[in-house]
Amino acid sequence: MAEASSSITEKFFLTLKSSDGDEFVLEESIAIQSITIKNMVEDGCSSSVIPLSKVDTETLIKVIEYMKMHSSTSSNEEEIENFDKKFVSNSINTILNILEAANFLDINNLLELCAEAVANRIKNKTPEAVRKIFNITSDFTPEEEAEIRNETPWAFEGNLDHSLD
Amino acid sequence: MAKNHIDKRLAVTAAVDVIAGNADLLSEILLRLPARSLIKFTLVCKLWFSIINSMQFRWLQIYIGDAIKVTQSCNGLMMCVISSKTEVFELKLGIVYNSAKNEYHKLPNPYVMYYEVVYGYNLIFDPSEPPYYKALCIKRLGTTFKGHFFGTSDFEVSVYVPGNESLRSCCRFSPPYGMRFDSGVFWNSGIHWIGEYSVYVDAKSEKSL
Repeated sequence: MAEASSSITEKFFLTLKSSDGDEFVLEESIAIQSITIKNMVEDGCSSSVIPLSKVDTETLIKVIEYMKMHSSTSSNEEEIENFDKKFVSNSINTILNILEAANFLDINNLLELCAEAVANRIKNKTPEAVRKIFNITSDFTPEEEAEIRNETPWAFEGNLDHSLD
Repeated sequence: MAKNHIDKRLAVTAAVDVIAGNADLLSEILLRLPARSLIKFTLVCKLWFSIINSMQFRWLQIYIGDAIKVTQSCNGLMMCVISSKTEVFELKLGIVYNSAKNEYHKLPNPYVMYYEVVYGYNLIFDPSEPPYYKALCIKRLGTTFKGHFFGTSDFEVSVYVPGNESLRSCCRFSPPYGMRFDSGVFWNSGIHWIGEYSVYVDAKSEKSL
């Protein structure tokens, strides 16, 4: 893992620390795709380690991969497109984690990519499968549920997807 | 190591909970879903129900370029009107778009004579039995005299039932002068046009009042 000693405090490098305590050194120009990090840098926090208490290591690695691909001058449009396609094939749980991280870090492109990916994954699913994925317990009574189903029976017809990924 | 593993699992649950409880973040996902999925997901829980229902107003405001206009929307069914203007007349054709199934049905050409003027199309929506909707076309009839055409005061309402090949004329009436027919409302089993005067076409008997 790309652990770095915190002694690297060069001007154009930032050290990001995940909630698991792992540290990642990243070029400032790449990291400031995150508006949250950019604001921290502008407020003079860049000389020390930037703690990202809401992002675990696994998620941070993915976010950094994304930021590297999307800022690197060497990657062309086709490469980025292929990268994004592969990126959204992660498990839906991973994507939800990245979505939340993108929201916290304020990386708009990544947030949009993940929201689109989640929407694509869940659009054919049953309400029950969506509840399980989002860890939601229904607060409707059986009568209320029946009423909603009866209002638009066609929305619940056909082959729906029961899987959880 | 074991502790680390548990922490990670807690973090995963937390991320899902954050999204499920955050209306803004949830809207980012829901906005990208087709109507059918949205209607289906009103069943997930009360929070989802209220977010999705507050989003419905957006469907009413969709304009696709200048040529196609959504004039009415009801539970994911949209009445769209394509208009093409020439110097002499304006041609208006209707399309019913089912945003849930991503399907559309072109309504048959309502023009019998080129000088007829289509004023509008309306949906009659009935969720209780297939085919769930009918469409009305309202047009002003015309006549020609010495090579010029004149609109008469007669309006004709015709109805389209999905699966049919043509519109079926159902009633004629003479509305008050200046009556507008571009924003009819389906209410109480009839289409109402309300202005200085109101006109009403009953969906069942297909008579105008």
